[in-house]
Amino acid sequence: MSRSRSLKLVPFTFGIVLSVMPLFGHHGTGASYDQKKWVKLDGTVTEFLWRNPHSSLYLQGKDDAGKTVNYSIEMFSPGQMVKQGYTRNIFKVGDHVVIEVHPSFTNPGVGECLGCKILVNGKEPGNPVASGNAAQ
Amino acid sequence: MRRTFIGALCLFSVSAATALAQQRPDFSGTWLLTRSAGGGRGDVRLPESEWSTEKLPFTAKGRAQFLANKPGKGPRMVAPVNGNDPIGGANPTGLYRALIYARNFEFVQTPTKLVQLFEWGRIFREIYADGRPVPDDIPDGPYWYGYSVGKWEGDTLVVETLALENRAWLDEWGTPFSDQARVQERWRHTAPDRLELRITVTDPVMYEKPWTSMPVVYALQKKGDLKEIIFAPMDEQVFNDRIRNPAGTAATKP
Repeated sequence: MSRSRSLKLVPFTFGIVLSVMPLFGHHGTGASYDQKKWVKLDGTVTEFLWRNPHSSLYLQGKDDAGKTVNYSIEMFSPGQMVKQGYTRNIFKVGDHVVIEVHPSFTNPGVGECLGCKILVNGKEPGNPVASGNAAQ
Repeated sequence: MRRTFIGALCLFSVSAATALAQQRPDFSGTWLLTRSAGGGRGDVRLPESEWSTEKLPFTAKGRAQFLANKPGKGPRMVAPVNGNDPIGGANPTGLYRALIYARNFEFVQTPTKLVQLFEWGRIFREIYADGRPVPDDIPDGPYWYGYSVGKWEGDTLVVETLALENRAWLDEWGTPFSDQARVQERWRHTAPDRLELRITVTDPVMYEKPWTSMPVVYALQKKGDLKEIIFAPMDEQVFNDRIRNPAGTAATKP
């Protein structure tokens, strides 16, 4: 049974989540993602890779026309995610996730979540606190 | 009699060396780059290199190489898919890029050698401080983390490094060096919980004259455990294919 929901892109108010922005980004993120803009994604987890130095989350949802859309999200390293209060079990395949990301400048299928708001099956996982520490 | 004399002399030498070592500053501990130095953050303005508040004295060749290096961070950053950062393919960071990056490293100090254990890449670097001379060449070099000889000048550890693999960069911003580069490091405490580093780069291929960095400051960390931050090429390839490169490329219709 599919739990896919609409993958909607909703501009967010910059100030709301500014406080959780990391001071050090992965390399290339400043050039690849619009770090002054936030969009909210709503989809189902197809894969989550808990890897150094970048974890990554893959979602599937539907756009406003009902067409299936895939989304790839860059995340922190495991060490940074643990500092944020997350664990390697934060996402399971099939989980319903609502997540705010900085969108790619050029590719609407890719976003960055390096310290952002996340809901998994309607709940905030862990205790996300910006570490402000380094991350490759 | 002669044996007794030689034995006493050896004992005196060992005792003197131990006493001398005990007088030296102790850099042991885990250290982290402070935010006010490096990375262009805080109150430090860095025009070209993470190491310097000044523009660098490039030769024509050095300027050309600097412009050919296309980093993913700093004032000249480009999307990684359009860049050529050597660590994008999980290559080693090289010594000086590791030292200017905000990841923990541990200093392990003995009377004759200091070792830096870097969390980033989970690698180490040795500084020989046993009185050996600085060699002219390292026949089996270059090394990604160089060959380093150190000596104490009062409270300052002065390190001479050569044989550096010049496919690495000096920092995240693409600052170049050649196979002729030699780097002097000067390490000292500015407070019990602060370490300061200045480097002087001598490289007639890339720079018209030696240049000295700004003081880079590291803070002693209370939680000294080092993480494992390894770039596994198989993971980096997947990440590049699925996220990093698509993030900098216009989407194509399926």
